[in-house]
Amino acid sequence: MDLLANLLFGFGVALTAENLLYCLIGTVLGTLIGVLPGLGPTATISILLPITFGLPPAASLIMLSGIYYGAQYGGSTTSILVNLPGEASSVVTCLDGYQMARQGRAGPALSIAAFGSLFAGCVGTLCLAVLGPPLARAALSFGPAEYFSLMVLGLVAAVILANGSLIKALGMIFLGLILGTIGTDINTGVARFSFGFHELGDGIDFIVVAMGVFGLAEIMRNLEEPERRDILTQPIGRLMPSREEIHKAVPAVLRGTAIGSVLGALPGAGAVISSFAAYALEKKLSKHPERFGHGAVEGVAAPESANNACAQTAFIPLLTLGIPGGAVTALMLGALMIQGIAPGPQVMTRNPDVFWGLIASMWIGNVFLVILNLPMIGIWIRLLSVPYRFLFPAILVFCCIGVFSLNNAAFDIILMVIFAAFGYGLLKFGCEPAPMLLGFILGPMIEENLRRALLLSRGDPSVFVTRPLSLVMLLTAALLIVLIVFPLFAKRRREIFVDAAD
Amino acid sequence: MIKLLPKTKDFWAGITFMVVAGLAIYFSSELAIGTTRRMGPRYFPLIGAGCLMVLGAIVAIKGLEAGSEPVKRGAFRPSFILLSVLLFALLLQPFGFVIALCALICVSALAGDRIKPVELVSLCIVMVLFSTVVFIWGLGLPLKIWPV
Repeated sequence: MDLLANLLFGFGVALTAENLLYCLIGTVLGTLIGVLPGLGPTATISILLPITFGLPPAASLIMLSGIYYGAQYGGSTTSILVNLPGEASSVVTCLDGYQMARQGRAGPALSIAAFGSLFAGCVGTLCLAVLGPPLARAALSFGPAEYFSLMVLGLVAAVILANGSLIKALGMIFLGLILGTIGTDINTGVARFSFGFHELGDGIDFIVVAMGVFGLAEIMRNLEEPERRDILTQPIGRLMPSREEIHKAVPAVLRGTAIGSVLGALPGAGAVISSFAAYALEKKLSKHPERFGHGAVEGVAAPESANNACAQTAFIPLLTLGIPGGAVTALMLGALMIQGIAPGPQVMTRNPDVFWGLIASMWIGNVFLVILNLPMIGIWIRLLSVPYRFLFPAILVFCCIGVFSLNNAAFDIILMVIFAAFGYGLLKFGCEPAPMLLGFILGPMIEENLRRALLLSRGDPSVFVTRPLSLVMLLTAALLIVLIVFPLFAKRRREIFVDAAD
Repeated sequence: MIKLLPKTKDFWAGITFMVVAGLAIYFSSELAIGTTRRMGPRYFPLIGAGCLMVLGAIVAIKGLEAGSEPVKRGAFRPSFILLSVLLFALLLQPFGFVIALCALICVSALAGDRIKPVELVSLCIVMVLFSTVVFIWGLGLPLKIWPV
């Protein structure tokens, strides 16, 4: 059994004292930012990225991924107790979770969310362990044409799964692609769009962009909304759910896990849409859909399982193909590159400690999270009373120092201010920044593969449709585009979001 | 003049897209396009800018339709965030880390809810101490602590 041997090796890596510590730090930080509204995993990971320069590759990935899936756990806590989603992916959990809490069933809601997430996290990680190696083997035979088509497919899928306007998301991707061309053109050595600044010669660091549009612009958006905290005054009560609640929750957890695992592996805003989709499905399947919104257990179990499964399977395209599916995995890709690891199928063979160590750490981290979240729930609730007026200056300090430390240059901080202003404006105009970051990171890779493919084919663009794998990927992308334009499907897509909202 | 323009989100998003696309086309005008076989540095950005221009036009036209969502007028205060970070960047080299950090915290505090002077001073002290210990002594960032 190859898999078993590999997993054992992975546990060997993850169970060293050092890596256990980083896993713990990651999950604690993840829970923390999950609980604190207004600070998401994208901003936190971009703030911490510069600090991971000095860590070994496996430790850095273990910690950063812990932040990501830890945030999915923490987000549910605030949704249930305060009716305030700590994370976008926990928005639907508010609907029934908070109602359960008001009926004095906060304890069962919290423990169902925690154990549902634990189960989903374990299954999601198993998917990664089982599907990763064969996918990576397949990817080894990819040429530039296949990579180009795959990335096009990824970007198209990201647009479709993003919430909000499709055409604006598409525009944001192109915006990101153009921003990604800033810097020296690797093929000819000519500086593009550098406006005479030698600092722009190496291009803009994606951390600067991420902190501008996710860190600063998000703070500005949060400050516009008045603070609203209706902290639950009732005691949490017993944690154990009743037999009836368990009976209802189990199938919902299973379905949520399935939805989350599938959607997570696809590129796009996975965790958010998967929780919405899981909620909508439960409501549709239920014999008493009117119970939803009034404290239905399924309405907590399904979306929480889905978003956590998603957080794990989101690593499949990243670690096997080297292609990030969303903003967070795009940052992970950056973390790999910082460590001098070229992302792609060869990660598994050249850096097995990173791949299998990360997988093993995810299981360990999910167990940490249940321990952190259930018995220690009181600490997290107390943290909720930290006012945002103390929080955001501290976040600003970390953003500034983090960006400065990239090149020890104040220039990068000014660049971050520019991106913050730009990102804030775009937010005001209803454009979500995540597709832009994805386009920004994938842009240089797409360009390079496009140029290489066409160079190899002597300028014949038919190379993208004569190679079977590339053709299949482009056809899938085209099919997805047709589906968007096709009104029936567009209506269904809206329904998923609307269904969950009412 | 401004009053004549529609105030919808879509219209301004489209205009933003078109402006960026226009800038990309204009500022790359001295670069070589090359051929499909051997692409020059301008080839790929030009394709991207072309697509963005078309998308921007579509979005902007959608913004002219009746019932398109209007831009929510923003509060003025959040712009103190941008100002405070800019100040930090400008003060850091000449005046050192402590002064820049305090400026960052105090100016950014103007963007948020009312904060008591005592709270503000303690926030500055805590952040300066924490950052100095962790980032300068711990991680060894090459930053001047005081103005020289």
